[in-house]
This record gives sequence, structure tokens and C-alpha cells, in this order.
Amino acid sequence: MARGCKTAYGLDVSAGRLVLARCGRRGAPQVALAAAADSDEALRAVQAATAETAQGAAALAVAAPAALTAVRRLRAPFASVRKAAKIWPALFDVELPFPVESAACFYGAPRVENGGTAALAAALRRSDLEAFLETCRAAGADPTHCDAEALALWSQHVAEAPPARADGVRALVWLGADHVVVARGRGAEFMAAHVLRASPVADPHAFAALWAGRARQILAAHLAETSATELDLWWTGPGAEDEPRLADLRRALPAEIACRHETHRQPASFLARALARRAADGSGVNFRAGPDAHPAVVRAESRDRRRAYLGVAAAAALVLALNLGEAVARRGRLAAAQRELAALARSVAGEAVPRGQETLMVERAISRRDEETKPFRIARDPAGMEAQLARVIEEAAALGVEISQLGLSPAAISLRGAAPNQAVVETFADRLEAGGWSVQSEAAGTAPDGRPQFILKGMVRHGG
Amino acid sequence: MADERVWKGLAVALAALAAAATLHTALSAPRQRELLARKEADLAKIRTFAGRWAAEDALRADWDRRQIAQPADLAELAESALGTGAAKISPRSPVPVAGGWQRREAAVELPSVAYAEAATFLSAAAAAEPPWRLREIDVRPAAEAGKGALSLVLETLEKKRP
Repeated sequence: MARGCKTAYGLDVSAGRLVLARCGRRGAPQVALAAAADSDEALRAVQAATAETAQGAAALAVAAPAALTAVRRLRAPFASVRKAAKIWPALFDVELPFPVESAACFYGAPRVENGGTAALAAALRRSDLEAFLETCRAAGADPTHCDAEALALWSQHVAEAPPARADGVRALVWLGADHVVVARGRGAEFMAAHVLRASPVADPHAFAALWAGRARQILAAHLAETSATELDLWWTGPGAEDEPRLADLRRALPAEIACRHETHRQPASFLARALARRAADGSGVNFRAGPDAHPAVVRAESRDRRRAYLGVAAAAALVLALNLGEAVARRGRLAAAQRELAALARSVAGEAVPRGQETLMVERAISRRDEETKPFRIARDPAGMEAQLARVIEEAAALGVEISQLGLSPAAISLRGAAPNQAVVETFADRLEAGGWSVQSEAAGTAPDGRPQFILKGMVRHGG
Repeated sequence: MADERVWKGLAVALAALAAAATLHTALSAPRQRELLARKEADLAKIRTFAGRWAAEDALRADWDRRQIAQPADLAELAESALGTGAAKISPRSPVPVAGGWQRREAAVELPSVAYAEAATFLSAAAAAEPPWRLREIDVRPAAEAGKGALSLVLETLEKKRP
């Protein structure tokens, strides 16, 4: 599917009449000019549209004649869009009366249904495309888009008369100046198109003879194919402007085919409007693609690609900048933490600390400073060893223990003495234990008065 | 066409760089977080050490402010509490400590002293500024009740003389 255009023109020239429709990307298509093809204003309008397309400001779409275009529904027997896309050309080649390699082909959006993948395909032989484009150029128009007529007509029909029911059976009869297209489908879905190489506009009698037979054949097949009993038949095209002619054609339809007839508004500009809309919103077919593409389209596509590359480059630059910002922010956070750590370590250690050794140096400094500040800790200790000594002496006095020798240092205590009995010795030892000493006691015989003598030795308990 | 190739090359190169940078940022994020967490843990640990010696520093600062630099004369304290000649005092070599101060120990021999008088002496020594604090004591009672021989080690602080 081609990209859309800001402005697109749809051009329909047949039987000496020119219809030029204009459409913006979001607006509805409007008829810009409907005049005799050889009139000055028609020539000026076509020249102006061609000039706009040459500048890349607009697209100019024409319809490749339906008689030259093959439109088929392809179906791959597996439900994989990616796989199916690989075999579309081979499937299409079987359907075409000419080699697929010799044609400009278009494959519509695939749809997975009933375990398979289906897609609409259109082809126009390259030689026919070149000849057709040459005809256009001879008429003063160099189109950027070459759409498939039947598909353009059907999509405009769906756009202007959206189906009320998804399975509603309908057909569209486009009465052109030199040929008639009958497109048929169900709901919005296109099923097939048929071209009648005659027109009620050019030769009503010849067409009437053709119409009676072909219409029966086409519409009966459509009803049979869709298992329907009736259908909506829509009329459009330059030939549909003549109401008595339409009435004749309706009457010529076989009575056994139940039809509800409707006529599109502005039928003469129907195709031009379809072409303009499809070129503007990019929904149409463009056989003029690849090596056959219009130079303005090639330039515009190149410009779009450059813009896309620029967009990618800008996005990548933004991502790079964000990454750089993140890296700088991370480095900043780490540096701030390191600065704070160094300052704190220095304040504790009292000297500059090598990076990464803060904790080690601080621990060393702590053990050194602990030693250096220990005398101050002792000096401000309200109890100290004096209190320990007093406590030991008080405990001894309270238990009736007589101390004959006492040694006390920060790490050790030693006591020798006599107690009223062995139980008191043990109680005294327990009280020393409670005071933070790890005590061993030993008996030292008995005193002359019979009291048991003891020796107690204690080491200060860590954490005690 | 050449121009388009340049744009394409630039876009591809920048996109590749951006992808590489993003990958690097994503992959290095855990390591960065770990580094930062380690620094913060170190900080928290060191913070707990900061202020560890605040009380000691405050005491020293107070003495410095009040120009208390030398301890009381131990011999005078002993004479005052125990009488003349009761104590034999042997000062030991000073050891440098924090903030320009030094620790000084003195061995005190009290061959025969009443425990009550010894306690008065120790109390007076501990009440001085800087105090003389008891570090070791060895008591050997005498035959007479309430008396004995005491070997003491006392410790004090003094400002190092310039």
C-alpha cells in the first residue's frame, strides 16, 4: 500500500469528458472540474495538477482500465501471513493469463480465515501499463498513481454506502462511457469484478443485448456463490445520470433475480472521487511503483526515507544523551559518596586516607585512638578500680571472710584468706563472678582456728 | 542516492551506538548499585565510630580550657593523708597519649598503713584534677587488725611540656 498524500487528484477521462476530483488526506473528495476533455479549462486544470505532482506537492491518480487489470482473491492453505506472502506470486501466476514476472502486481492486506490466509491481488501487464501511461502523457497528464479501476469503484462504493449488514450481498454497476464494470461482494468485502466491453452511453442497443445475458449470468452466480436470495444493486458512473436509461437497464434484469436498486449520488464523478480519495489516504493500488514509479514519487519517498533516518538518528542521539546523563549522574553519586566517606574517614583517622581503604584505616585508627584515649576514659570513670576494691572488701566483710592477701589489677584479682565454712567461700566466689570476674577457687587447708582457708584467682571476663 | 546512504549510515551507526550505550548502562547498573551500596555501608559504619571518643575529647577540652595541665603532687597528697614518710613513691616514665597529653604511672609503697588512711589517700588522689586513679593494688595485712602493707600503682595524665 502506497503512502498517503497531503493532496491528491483523481482523473477520469472518457468519451471526451474529463472529471478531476481533489481530496485532502482527511477530507472528502470534491469535484474540482467536470468539463469537455479538450476544453481550455480542462487542459489548464490537468497541467496545474501535473505541475503540482511534479513538485511533489500532490498526487495525480488515474485508473488502469478494468479490462487490462486482473483482480483475484488468493488463498494460501496455511494460517501464516508471513509464509503466505512468500507464495502469493506463485499462486497469482497460476491465475493470470500472462507471467506474473511481466506484470506490475499488488497484493492486498492478508487475512487469516478458516485455517488459511486470503488476500486480494491485482496485476497489470507492464507493457499495458507503459502504453496506458503513454496515453495519459499524450493527454498532458503524468499520473503518480495508477489504480485498479474495479477495486477503486468498490472501495468508493463501500465508503459512500457502508453496508448495514456485514453479510449483506451487494453489487455495483458502473456505467462508463465506453465500458461497464460490475463489481460484487458481501458487506464491505470485494469478491470479484466483471467488465463488459460495451456501454449504454455509447451504444444503447448493443449494450442492451449484452446486458440481458451477462447480468443474469453475473448476478445469478453471485447469489449462488453467497447463498443469498436477493441482493442490493447499486448504480453509478456517467451512464447512471440518465434516469430513463437506468430504468431500462433495471427492467432488462431477469425477473427471478430479486434486487433492491440504489443509485449513488454524483455518479459521473464517482471514479475520479474514488481515485482521489484512495491516493490521498494511501489505501489504493498503485501499479506505478518500483521501476515504474513517478520521479516525484521517487523523490518524495527518498525524502521520507531521509526524514525517517533523521528521526532514527535524532532518537538515537537522544538515547545516547540520556545514557550519558545517566553515566554522569551515577559518577556524581559515587563521587559524592566517596567525598563524604573520605572526609569522614579523615575526621576519624586524623589523616588523609587512601581511596578504598577507608574502613581498614579507620579501624586501625580506632584501635590506636582507643589506646590513646584510654587514660582519659579511666580518668572520667566515676567508679574505676577504687570502687571494685571497695566492693570486694564489702562483700568479704558481709560474709565474714577474712582476707589475708589481696591483689587487684585491671585484668586480674587474687585473694587469699579464711572463711567461716566452705559454703561461704563458694558464695564469695559467686559474688566475684557476678562482679565480672572468671574465678577459680582452691582450698588452702585450714586455719589454726579450724576455718577453711582458700585461694581465689580471677581473670576479668570479656564483656563482663 | 549517495546522500541517502550517508543518512542511512549515520542513522544505523547512531542507533547501534545508542543500543550499545543502553546495553552498557543496563549491564553496569547492578555493579554501580553495588559500589554505591558498599560506599554507603562504609559510611554508615564509620559514622558509628565518629563521636566514639566525644566524652574523652570533651574532658580533655575542658582541662585545656581551664588550663589544667599537671596532676596534683602525689607526695603531698600522701603526706597530707598518711603523714610524713609513710609512702615511698616511684614515678615511672610517661607514655604519650592523645591530644598532646601523656600518661604517667607511679608505684606507691605503703609498708604499714591503716586501711582507712589508705582509703582517704586514694580518695584524695582520685578527686584531684587530673585524677590519680588506682590501676593495681596488692594488700598484705599486718598482724595488727585494720593495718597492712599496700603496693599501689596509680595513673594520671599530664600535659606534655613543650
